[in-house]
Amino acid sequence: MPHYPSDAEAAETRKKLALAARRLDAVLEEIKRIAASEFAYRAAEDALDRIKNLFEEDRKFLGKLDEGSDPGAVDTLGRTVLTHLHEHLPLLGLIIRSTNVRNAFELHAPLVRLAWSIIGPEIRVVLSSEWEYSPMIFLEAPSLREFVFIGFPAHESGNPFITPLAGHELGHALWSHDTHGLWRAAFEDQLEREIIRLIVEDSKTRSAFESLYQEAAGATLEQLSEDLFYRSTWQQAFEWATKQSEEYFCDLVGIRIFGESFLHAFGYLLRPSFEGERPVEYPNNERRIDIQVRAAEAYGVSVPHGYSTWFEKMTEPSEHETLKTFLLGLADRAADGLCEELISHVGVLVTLPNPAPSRESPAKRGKDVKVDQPVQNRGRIENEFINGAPPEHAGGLAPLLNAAWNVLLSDEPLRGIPPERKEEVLRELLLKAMEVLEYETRTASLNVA
Amino acid sequence: MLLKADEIASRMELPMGAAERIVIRPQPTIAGEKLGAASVDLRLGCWFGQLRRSRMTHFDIAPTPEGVARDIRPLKRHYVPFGQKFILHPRDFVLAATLEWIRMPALLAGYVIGRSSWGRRGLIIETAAGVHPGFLGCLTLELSNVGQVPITLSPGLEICQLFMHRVESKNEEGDNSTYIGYRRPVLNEIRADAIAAALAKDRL
Repeated sequence: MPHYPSDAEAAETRKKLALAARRLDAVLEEIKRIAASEFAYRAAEDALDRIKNLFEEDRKFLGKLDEGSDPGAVDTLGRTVLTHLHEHLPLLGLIIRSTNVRNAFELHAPLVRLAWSIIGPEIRVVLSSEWEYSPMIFLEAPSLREFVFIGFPAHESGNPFITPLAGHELGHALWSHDTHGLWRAAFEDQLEREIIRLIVEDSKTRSAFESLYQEAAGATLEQLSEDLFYRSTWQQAFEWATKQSEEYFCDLVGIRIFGESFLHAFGYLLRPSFEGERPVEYPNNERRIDIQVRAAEAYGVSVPHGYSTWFEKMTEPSEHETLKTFLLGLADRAADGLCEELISHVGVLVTLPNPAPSRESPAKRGKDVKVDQPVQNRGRIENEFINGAPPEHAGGLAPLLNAAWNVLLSDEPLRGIPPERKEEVLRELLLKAMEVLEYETRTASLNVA
Repeated sequence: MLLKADEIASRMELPMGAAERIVIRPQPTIAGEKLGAASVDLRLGCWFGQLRRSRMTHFDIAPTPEGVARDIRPLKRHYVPFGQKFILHPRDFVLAATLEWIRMPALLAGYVIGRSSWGRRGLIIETAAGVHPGFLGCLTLELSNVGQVPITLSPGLEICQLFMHRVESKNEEGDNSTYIGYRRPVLNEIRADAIAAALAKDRL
């Protein structure tokens, strides 16, 4: 039925449409300004273009509405515009900061090739810097499914030594893309079953559950699994367990790709710990570090001496917060129960090709692909760094990073460089070595002497 | 005595850490007709730097007893990855760096000159800059377009030649200046010059 608004309704609709139009024009104007920046890499420009298209579509749709339009449709559009702004404004900030010359631009190409090999050739990586210390940022948006946005802390964005933490962020992309089938769903299913099992079978958990949810006393396994009311009792624990498992998974991906250098970079940015209460989406430090060490052992990765003692346990929620403590305890136990499986899953899932793949011929994935051992050629590469030469034929980012960390932490000086400039020159050498890696990849097929 | 390219190539093959070893990374191609040359070709790197004209009234290069420290503020940097281009307009001046990272042995020195093929098209690349014994890092190039048409610069382009010669000295210490060890173009310090400062002091 056509909608015939009153004068007052029409005036209100006009106001709402004008408001939405102003918001959209403002963001489109800002996008135009950002587009005038000097982009080093195409992915950031393409992401910007996609965001522009999204807001232009909103603007086009807005143009079809007028004061006689259904107020419900006008409100829906208003909400959509706000949601799009909420989702994409942080990305616009990250895109503009990707042009800043403080960034380690030489890292981009080798990291993109790495992302192609472990996630897929469709993936687009935007490397940037972020004014938030968490310590690194991973962003994604539903409208930009194939884009991975990684933000290094701004003051460290030119520091190649923290590169291994990008492995953790690629882990988020891998988790989110789940290109290898339904493993994530299987893990989530396992977490759910473990939480329910604990409530039903563990007497202590059961009694705590029943004192918190008296109306759910005597709940059976079937009720807890299938009845919406009973499911709501443990849903929060499940969500936290899933987030914690994702964080474990991402650490494992980082260790698998970058080996010991991941642990050094993790320690560099995060030891001893943040202050205050632990975030519920992360395992507490002692559990997180324990799993990292177990994974390192499983993958044949050396653990820095005293690594477990580098970190402090963060404060758990107060015992007076009984519900939160109970649910978080459930989440922690469920996530911990999944760890061994996550370790072996990542061991199979993340294999690195050698040499680096091109977009046109991405590496095969699977068990039969040779893993690029992060310690490969370490002695030779370290010796080249020490002698002031950006190593060649390193075969990947991981061997470079592991050797560079080793040289950095050793007492060995760089030949001809005063000790106070060792770290500065080593950073330069490492970034140059990343560029040499890209040079070798691009010229490999030429077979030049 | 100038080193021929085959001698440079064989010194690049010496064991890492050997006193005579020359490091050039990525390794330049020295084969075929290039073996007979007395230089190696170097390529244009990805980093450029231009002076921030809108912020600066002038450069004061009058000598001072204290010198002028290395300062990155007057330099606006640009990163141009492989596959992209940098346009150098007529009368424009830009600092660039070689793609190659170089380590000169302690008893070799060198100098860089532009390629005549670019010079004849208006691109002046370097003014015979010296490379000191023991130098480490990427060489800073001074590019200027003195022609009438814009010039497109692509990272990876062979842009200059490095000549090397032996240095006679019993002192085997290399370059220990503060502007070695950089991969990007450097606007180096102006050294303290007490004599020039004294000469410039009073106007009679």
